[in-house]
Amino acid sequence: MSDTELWARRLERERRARKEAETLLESKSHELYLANKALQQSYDAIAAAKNYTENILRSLMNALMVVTPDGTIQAVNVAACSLLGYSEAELVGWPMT
Amino acid sequence: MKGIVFTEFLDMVEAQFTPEVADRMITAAAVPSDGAYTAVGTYDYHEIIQLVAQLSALTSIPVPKLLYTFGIHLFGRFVMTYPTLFSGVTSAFSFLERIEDHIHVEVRKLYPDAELPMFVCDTSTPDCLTLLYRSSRPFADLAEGLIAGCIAHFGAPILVHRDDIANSHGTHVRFVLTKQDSPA
Repeated sequence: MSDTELWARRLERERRARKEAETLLESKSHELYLANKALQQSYDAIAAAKNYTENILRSLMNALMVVTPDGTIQAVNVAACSLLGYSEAELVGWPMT
Repeated sequence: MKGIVFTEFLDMVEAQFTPEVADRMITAAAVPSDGAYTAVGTYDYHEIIQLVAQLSALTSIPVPKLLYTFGIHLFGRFVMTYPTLFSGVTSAFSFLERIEDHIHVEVRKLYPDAELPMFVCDTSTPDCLTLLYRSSRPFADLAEGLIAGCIAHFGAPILVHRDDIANSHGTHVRFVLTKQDSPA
C-alpha cells in the first residue's frame, strides 16, 4: 500500500470519527434540551403549588404563625397581624418571646 | 452560520471537484477558521461567501450556480443526517410548509443561537405554494437549491418561479411552486 493510500484511509477514519462525535454531541444536546424542559415544568408546578398553599394560609380566618426552632417568627398570616396589631414586616424576623 | 453548512460544502467540493481544489480554495480564501470546521460549531457566514467566491474563481462557475448546486447537495445530506425530520412527510409541499413551525423549532432545540432565515408559506391557491424567503444574508440561491433538492427528493414534478424582491435590508425572495402533471 502506498503512503498516499495509507494517508487517505487514515483521513477517512478521522473524518468518520469527527462525524460520529458531532452526532453524539447533537444527541446529548437534545437530551439536555428535554431534561431542561422537564426541569422547567417541575419548577412551574412547584411554584404553582407554593402559590396555592400561600393563598390558603393567607386567607385563613385563624391566626397562623410559623416559628423557627430558635423561636424566630418566620411567617405570619393576615389574621395573625390583625390579632397582634403589627404588620407582617414588623413581625417577621423577631423573636416570639 | 451553522457548521454543518461548512462541513457539507467542503465535502461537496472534494467530491465534485478534487481535494486539491478544496485545499486551494481554502488557502486562497484565507478565512479566519482556516477551513477547520465542525458541524456543531458556528462560524461567520462571510467565510462561506469567501470560499464560494474562491471556488468560482478556480472553476469559472458562477457563484449563484455553485450555491444552487450546493443547496441541492445539502438537502440530500439533511435527508441522510436527520431522517426524523422527514418522518410522515410525503410531499415537497408538506415538507416546505413545515420549515418554520417544525424544522426551525427542532433546530433551535439543539442550537438556540441559530440565526435562521424566515419562510412564510401561502397555500391559498390549489396546487400552488408561495414561499416568501427573508434573510439578513445573501443566500437566496442556496435556498433555491434546497427547494430544488426537496422537490427532487419527493419526486413529483413542481415548477419553481423565483421573484427577487427589492429590499434594502437583507434578502427577500418569493418562490412560487406550481405542481405539474406527472408524466403518464
